[in-house]
Amino acid sequence: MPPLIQFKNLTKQFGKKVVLQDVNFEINKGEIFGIIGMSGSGKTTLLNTLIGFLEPEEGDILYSSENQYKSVFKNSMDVRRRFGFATQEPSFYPKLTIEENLDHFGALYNLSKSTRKNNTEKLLKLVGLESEKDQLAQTLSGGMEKRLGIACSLIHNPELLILDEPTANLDPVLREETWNLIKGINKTGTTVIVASHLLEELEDACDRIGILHDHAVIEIGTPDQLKGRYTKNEEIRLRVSGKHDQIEKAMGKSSYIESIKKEGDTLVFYTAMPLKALYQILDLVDKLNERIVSLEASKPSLKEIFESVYQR
Amino acid sequence: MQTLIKIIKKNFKLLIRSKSSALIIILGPLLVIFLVGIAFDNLNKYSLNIGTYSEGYSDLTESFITKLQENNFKVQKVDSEENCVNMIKQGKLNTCITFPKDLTLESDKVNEIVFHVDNSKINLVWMVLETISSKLAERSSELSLDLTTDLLNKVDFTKTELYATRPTIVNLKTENQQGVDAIGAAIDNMGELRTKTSELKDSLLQKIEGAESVVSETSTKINKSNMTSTDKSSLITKLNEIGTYLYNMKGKLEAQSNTSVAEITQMENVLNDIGLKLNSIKSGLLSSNAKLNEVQASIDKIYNEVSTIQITNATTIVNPITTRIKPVATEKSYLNYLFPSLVILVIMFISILLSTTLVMMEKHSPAYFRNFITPTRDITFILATYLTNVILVFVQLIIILGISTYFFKAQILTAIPSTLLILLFTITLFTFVGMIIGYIFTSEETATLASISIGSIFLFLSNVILPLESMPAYIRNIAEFNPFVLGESLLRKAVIFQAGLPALQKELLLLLAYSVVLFLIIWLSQRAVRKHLGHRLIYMRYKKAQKKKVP
Repeated sequence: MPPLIQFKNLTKQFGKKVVLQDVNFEINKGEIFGIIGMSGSGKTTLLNTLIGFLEPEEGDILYSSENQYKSVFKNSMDVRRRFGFATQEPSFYPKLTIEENLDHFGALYNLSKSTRKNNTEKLLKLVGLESEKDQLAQTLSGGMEKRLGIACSLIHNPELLILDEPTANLDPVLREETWNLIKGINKTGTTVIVASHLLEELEDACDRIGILHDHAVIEIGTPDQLKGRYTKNEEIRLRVSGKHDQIEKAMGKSSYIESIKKEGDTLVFYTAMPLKALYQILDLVDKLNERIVSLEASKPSLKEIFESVYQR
Repeated sequence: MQTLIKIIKKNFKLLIRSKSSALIIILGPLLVIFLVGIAFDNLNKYSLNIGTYSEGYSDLTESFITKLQENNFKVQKVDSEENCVNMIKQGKLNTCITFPKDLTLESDKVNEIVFHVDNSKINLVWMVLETISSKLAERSSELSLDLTTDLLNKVDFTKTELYATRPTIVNLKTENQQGVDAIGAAIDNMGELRTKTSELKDSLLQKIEGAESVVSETSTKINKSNMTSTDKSSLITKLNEIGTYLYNMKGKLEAQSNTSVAEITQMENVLNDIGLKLNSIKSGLLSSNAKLNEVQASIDKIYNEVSTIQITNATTIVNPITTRIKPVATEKSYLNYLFPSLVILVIMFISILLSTTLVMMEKHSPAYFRNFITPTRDITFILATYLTNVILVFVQLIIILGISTYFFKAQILTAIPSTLLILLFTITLFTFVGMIIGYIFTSEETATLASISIGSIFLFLSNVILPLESMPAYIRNIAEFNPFVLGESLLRKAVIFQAGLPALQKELLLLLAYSVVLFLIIWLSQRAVRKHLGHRLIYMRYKKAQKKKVP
C-alpha cells in the first residue's frame, strides 16, 4: 500500500539553529506511527511542519490525495481539512462548554449544522465526555482536557490524526485510558502519528516508531525490529530481600553476563545467553540463602535502545 | 457566512462569560452618560470664586463688586493682596482683583484694576478673564454713559446759549454801526455847516459885489443913457445910496463875516475837536464792531462745530459698536453642544480598547493555535473580530443615546442616516486601530498602554483640550487629518447643523480611505503574527528543552 505521508529531505531551522535536517521517512495509511526523541529534538517542530503551520527551509512533505501526491505547503487548506492536530497543551476555549467547543471548531471546518451535531455526539461518546458536555472546559481535569483536545481534532473526521505528547502530565491510569482511546480511533481507520518521550507507551501502542536524533529520523521500524537492531541481549530482572551487592559482585564475574544495572532494589542483568545466566543467578541466590522477591526475563525495552542510541 | 456568525457568537459568549468584561461593557456606557448628563445638561454660566482687595473701598469699588455679585459669582474681600494670590494658588479662588485705593473718577487720575489669574488652568483662565472683564466693562460703560450724558447736556446747553446770544451781538453791532453812522453824519453836517457858512459868506459877498457891479453898471448905463440929468441924478443918487448901502452892507457883512469867520473858525475848531472826539468814538465803535464780529464769528464757529456733532446719543458714544452673539444653531444645553465630541470620544476609546482586548484575548487563548490549523481564512477571523466590536460599540451607543434622549432630552436623533453612517465609519476606523495594536503587541499590558496612548494622542490633537486654532500651524495641519477631529466635525455638522451627505462627502471618504489602509495593515499583520507565533512557540519550547535536557 502506498504511504499516506512522505517526508522528503525536510530541513527546518529557527534563525541559525537547525532543528531538522534532511528528514526522510514515510507514514503508512492506517498505522499508529510513534515519533520518539529527546526533549528539544524537534518532535513538535516536525508535527507542526506536517500540519503546515511551519514552513521548511528545504524539502517537502507530500500527502496522498486522489491517487497522487501533493505538497502540504501548496495545499494548506486541503491539508487542514484532512488532518487533525491535538497539541500538547489544551487548545480549546476554556470559557466555552465541551459541546460548544466541538460545535465551534466544527463550524471552522465548514461542517453543516447536522454534521456537527452528529459528529459531536459520536465524539463525546468516543472520548467519554457525554455527561460533561455542558461543563465549561476550564473546569475539566487534565485527562478530560486531553480527551477534549483529541475530540476537537477529530470533529471533522480527519484521515490523519497528529498527537503531540498526548499523555504528558497524566497519571498512569489516565495514560492508559488515553492510549485505549487512541487505539480505538485507529481502529476506525484513522492514521495516527504520536510524538512522545514515554517509551514504554509507544512500544506498546505503535505499529512503527521513528527515532528522532541529531536533527533527523535515524531509525524507523517496529518495536521488535528496533530492539533487534540495537541489541541481541535479553534482560533478567531480579529483586531479592537483602544481599543485592553480593549477588551483583558475584554475577559480575560471570561470562554469561554482559552488564549489570541497578534500578533501586532491582538488579538488571543483560545477557546474550539468558537461560544459562538464569541458572547461574538462581544457583547463587540459593547459595546465599536469599529470598527472591521477583524475577523476570524479557527482551530489553525501548528505553535501553533509546539510551544506547543516544550514547553513541 | 456561517463560520463568521459562529465566530462572532463565540466572541460574545467569551465576553459575557467573563464577568469583569460584561460589567464594563454594560455598565461602562451607563456610567459615562450618567456622569456626562449630570455634568453638562445645563446652560449655567461658570460659577467663579473671586477675591477682591483694596486699601480703601470707595463707593465706586463697591459698585463694581455689586455688579459681580449680580451674576452669582462668589465674591469675598481678602485682607491682603498676597493672601489673595495665595488663595488662587491653593485653588480656593479662581481670580483675585486688586482695586486702587478709594477709586474715584477724577480728571488726570488713572485708575488701574489688576487681575491675578492662574494661567496653568488653561481651559479656565481665559474664560475667567473674559467673564470678569466683561462685568467690569459693563460697570465702566455705565459710568461712561453717565459722564457722557452730562457732557452732552452741557454741550447742548452751550449750543442753546450760543444761539440765544447771537441776536444780542447782532443788535449790539447794529447799534454800534448806527452810532458810527450818526457820528459820521454829524461830522459831515458840521463840515457842511462850516462849508455852508463860508459859502454863504462868499455867496453873500459875491451877491453884494454882484449887486455893486450891477449898481455900477447901472450907474454907467444911466450915465450913458439918454435920461435927463435930473433923472440921471436921481437914479444915480439912489444907485449911489444903493451902492453905499451895499458898500455898508458889504462892510458890515465883512465885519460880521470877520466876526463870523472868527466865530466860525472858533466853531470850526470846536467842531474839529468834536469831530476828532466823534472820530475817536467812531473808531472805538468800529473797533468794538470788529471785535463783536470776531466774537460772532467764534460763536458761529462754535455753534457750527457743535452742530456738526452727528452722534448725540450717549449710549452710542460710549458703545459705538455693539456686538451680538447669534448662535448658528438653536440654543441648547451644553450636553447638546458637546455631544458630538463626547460620542466620538466614547467611540474612540471603547473601539480601540475593546478591539485590542478582543485580539489579545484571542491571541492568548489556548485555542489560538487551533484556529490557524483550520481551513478558515484569516480574513474571516479579522471580519469576525471587527463585527463583534462594531456590534458591541453600537449596543453601547444605543444605551448612551437612549438615556441621553430620554432623561436629558438631548436632541441627537436627527439626520439619522448620515449620523449612522458617520458612526459606522468612525467605529470602523478606531476598531481597526485597536486591532492593529492587538496584533503588534504581545502582552496585554503593553497593548492596553499603547491603546490608551494612541487614544490620548488623538485626543490631544483635537479641539477637546485646547482649540486647534491656538496650536502652531504645522500641528494644526496634522490635526486636520486626525480621525477624531474628522469624526467629531462630521457628527457636529450632521447633528447640530443638520448637514446633508453631500456636505460630509469629503471627510467621509477620508475616513473610508483610512479604514481601507488599516484593514490591509491588519491583514498583513495577521499573516506576520501567524508566522511569528509559530516560530516563537516552537523555538521557545525548543530552547527551554535544550536548557533542561530532559531525556
